[in-house]
Amino acid sequence: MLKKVSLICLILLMAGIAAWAGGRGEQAETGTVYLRFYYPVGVAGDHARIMEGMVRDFNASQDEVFVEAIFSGGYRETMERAQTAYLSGNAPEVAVLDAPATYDLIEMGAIVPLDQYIEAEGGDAYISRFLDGFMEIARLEGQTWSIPFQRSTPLFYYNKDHFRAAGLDPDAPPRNWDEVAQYSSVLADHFGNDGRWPIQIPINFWLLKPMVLQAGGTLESDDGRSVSIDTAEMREAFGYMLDLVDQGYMAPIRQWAPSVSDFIAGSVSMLYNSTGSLGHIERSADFDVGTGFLPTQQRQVVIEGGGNFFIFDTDERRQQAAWEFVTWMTNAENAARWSIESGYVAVREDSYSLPEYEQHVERNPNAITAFNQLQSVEVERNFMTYQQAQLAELLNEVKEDILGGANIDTTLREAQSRADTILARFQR
Amino acid sequence: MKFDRKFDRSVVSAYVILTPLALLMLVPLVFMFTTSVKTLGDILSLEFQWIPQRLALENFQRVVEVMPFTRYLYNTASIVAMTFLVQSVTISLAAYAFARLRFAGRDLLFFLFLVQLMIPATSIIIPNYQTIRAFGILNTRLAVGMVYFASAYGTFLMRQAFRAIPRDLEDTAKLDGCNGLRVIQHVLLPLTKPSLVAFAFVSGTFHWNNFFWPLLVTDTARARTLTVGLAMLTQATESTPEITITMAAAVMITAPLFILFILFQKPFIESFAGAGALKG
Repeated sequence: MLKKVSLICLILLMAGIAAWAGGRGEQAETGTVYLRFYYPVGVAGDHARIMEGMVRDFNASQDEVFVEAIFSGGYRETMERAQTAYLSGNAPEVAVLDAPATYDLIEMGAIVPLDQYIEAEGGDAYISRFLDGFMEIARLEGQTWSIPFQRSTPLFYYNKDHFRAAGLDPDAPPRNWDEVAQYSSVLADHFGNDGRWPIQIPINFWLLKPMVLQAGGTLESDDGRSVSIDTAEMREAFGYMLDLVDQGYMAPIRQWAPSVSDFIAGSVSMLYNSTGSLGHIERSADFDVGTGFLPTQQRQVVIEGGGNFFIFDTDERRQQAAWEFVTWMTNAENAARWSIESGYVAVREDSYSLPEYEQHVERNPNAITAFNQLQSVEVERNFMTYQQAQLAELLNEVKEDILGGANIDTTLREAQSRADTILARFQR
Repeated sequence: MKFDRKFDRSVVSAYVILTPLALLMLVPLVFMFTTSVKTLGDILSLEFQWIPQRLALENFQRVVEVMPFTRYLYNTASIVAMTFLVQSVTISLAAYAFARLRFAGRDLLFFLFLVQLMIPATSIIIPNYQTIRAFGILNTRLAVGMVYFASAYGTFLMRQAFRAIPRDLEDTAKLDGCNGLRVIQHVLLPLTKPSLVAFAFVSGTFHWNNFFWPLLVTDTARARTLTVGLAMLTQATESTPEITITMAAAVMITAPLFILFILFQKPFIESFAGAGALKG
């Protein structure tokens, strides 16, 4: 008897806990389409709050669609979360994801092409308002899979005060690799190398790819099924960096975040980094910050990066509602608002002629450098393959190993064979 | 106490070795704390500063602005408490069965239970997610805790503890009219309290720190945990993290664990030092 009572008590206790901690999520009122929107945080600051503010404004602007903004970690976690949810039959309707994930999303069958929606919106007349460089990564195999949203490009930062002190023209950053070496030599002569470095190129595949392109090479095939690591152009890119290291102009291994701190602290005079760091650098640096195009070699080219809007394969009604949300978030005013508040590059040409954007550029002249760079040099897409995250990590390791003193031939050869193994099942 | 009154050599050498190690372990904590009250200028200055020039308490203010801190704290604390509460019931019942009851296939079953320790949690995330979804409890605190309601580690720990207790004690209780459940409740659990406390720490720390699972099954602030809030500050791969604010958040998130540890330090250390309840 007592046994039974205890057991019942136990079950009641568990049920009580379940009822207390459980319960259902809020349901949007019937008639409106309820959308779940996964988004990552890619830059520091009030990113999540800015995003939630915009989504709230969208919800207030109409009453047919209600969007729930769901913060989902960094790019990697957001992708994993979307994958898990999709595989469990619970995909979000819309998400901002790292654009190079497109191949993997298509392979899973998770997303829908957007061409019919674009057509209904005006076709080319609609899509041509987005900067060309940002649309390239969205188009694959003759279809458009995503809409650019939070985009960035590599940018060259330099300390104008250091340039002045060393007798360099503060309005003329180095234009090519040779000039980088010359400028470094002038800066090194002036400042000495007591814990200071003229230049820093942090360890990152995203800064390696443009150098390979600038040397006239390619890194991955257009279909994303093969990667060329063991190439002459890769050696040329490493030759450029190894020279800087050998001359004592660059610390051999520096990661992304510390490289920015070094620049702000004034221990590095020139820095390869992302447009995404501009806000942080300008807020924190107590010197005159200069920005320029990425120094080139044979070819004037840069790549892009960041997240796009993807619409998941759900049903026509929800896909249409998701499309309305995406077009609202990326209209000229909102693209400008997002850029001004978050520091990303505005994705549409018509954003740049809005009065609020012109005022923004007037206050922050460096904000326009990225736009100018995208307009005046070739833009290729971010490193994009199948198994992209794994291969990007491999490239980071290669860069760290070689700059750290490993033999370049064996390192590149081994990395090539590892990359081939990773991509083996994608060969047709 | 086993030690002689006077300092013998082994005690001295233990201090000699352990003091520097303890200091070494303290460095990251001190670093976290000092960074949390520094300004960005302080941490970026070329000269490293152990002591900040002024207390930048606004860092803590910023943390509260970026995330609904009290809500996340409440969620985290209730998930940790709920999970441990249910676990302590499930593991002591399972441990009793494995330690005392005789039934066919007991050892094989226990072996299978232990094998579970070797399966990485990430590899069963999708089936777990599907289960939670089938229950219709996504985006609830229950979803975060439920998949951990049974614990192989806890069962193992309690089984070993139960086995260390002489059967005579149990038999005496039985003579006095206790059945199985009451034996556990009145004889075994009081004697194995240190093991349970140790498990409470292991379980509590794990669930306090758990990140990916709560991120996966929760959508909104109503069920989200502190670690998910911390990620809003640290995931800045396209730019640079604001280190001072991140550290301020880290201090706020780890502080409750510190306080709990200081309060329950004694039973915790006793349980690991193997000072079984029978001695005391």
